[in-house]
Amino acid sequence: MNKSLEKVQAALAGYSAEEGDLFNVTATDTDDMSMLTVIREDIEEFAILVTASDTQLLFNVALFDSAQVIDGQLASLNEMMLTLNIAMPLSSFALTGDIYSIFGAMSVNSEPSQIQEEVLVLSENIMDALEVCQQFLTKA
Amino acid sequence: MGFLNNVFNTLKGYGNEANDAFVDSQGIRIMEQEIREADQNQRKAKESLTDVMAEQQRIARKVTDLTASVNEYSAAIGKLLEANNEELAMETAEKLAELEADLDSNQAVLDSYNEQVKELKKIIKDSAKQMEALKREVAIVKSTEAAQKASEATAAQFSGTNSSLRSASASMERIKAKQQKRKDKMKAARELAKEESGGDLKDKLAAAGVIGSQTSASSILDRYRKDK
Repeated sequence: MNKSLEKVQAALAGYSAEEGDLFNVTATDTDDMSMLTVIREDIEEFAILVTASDTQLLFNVALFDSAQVIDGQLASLNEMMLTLNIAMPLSSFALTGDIYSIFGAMSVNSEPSQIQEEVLVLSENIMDALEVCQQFLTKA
Repeated sequence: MGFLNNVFNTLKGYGNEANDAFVDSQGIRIMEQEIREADQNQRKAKESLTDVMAEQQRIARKVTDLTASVNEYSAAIGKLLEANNEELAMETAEKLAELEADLDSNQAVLDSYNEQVKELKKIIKDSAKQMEALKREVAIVKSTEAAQKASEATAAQFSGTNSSLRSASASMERIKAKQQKRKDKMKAARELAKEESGGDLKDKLAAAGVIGSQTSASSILDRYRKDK
């Protein structure tokens, strides 16, 4: 397992959100890739995926794919995301392939307390981000 | 072209048709190929930089030497003219003209080497940024894919398709309902606790005679009798 990811794993062991919801961490380590799956108990549908490059830790949460966006609303959704990027604390919106996500990036030299803060804030942003995007998404 | 431009061109080609799994893995292959190319560019640029810097230093030394000579000959001409040695002054001036021409052309070469060093350093830095950027992108794609595969069984319960994420709207509603239920439960527990402790207090106050004990029919009748 990647050293930086080990650090994240250690920082999140037993760590919980304000309401006491724990962050469960699962490590995946293959020849092809190393990652952590961080799941906050009360929002288990949206996992935080943690990967590390040489310089950065990346915390990414896939929200929805473009197929779920109401026809003709993509441009408005994209504009809204760009507009809100600065307003969203510590996280930003992203588009990878056709998957929309929010993510946070930090230096691999970050302290455990900073990693905890990153994960907590990102997890809090998930529902807020979904709520604001919902107007552009198909129901079902 | 800046590194972000390069990265965007790579991702645009990949993003446009990223809807199916085959193109997904194709996209990763394209990005990995780009990473290898950026790596090669960087290595080549580093090699060139070593050569160019060696040459740059050689020319810089030459420019320094020539500048020193030019200054020396210039000073000499002044002195020779003062001493009215026109003939030698003329000869020296001819030499100086040669030196100045040589200095000019070498300075031009040095300038171009300086420029080249700057460019190569930028290429090295940009390739590094491009590699990092694409590596992060690949990591995101791979991790998302892995997570999707891991939850495919669950996802299939919610949506018919297994290649796309399950409905974000539906998931959000489920989470909200769950959170609301928990809130309701906690609120109910709080209220219950309040009622219970409130009840206790009333009993204690009554026992202490601060408030009347249980209201009874006879105590009400007593109140009416007093009023009369």
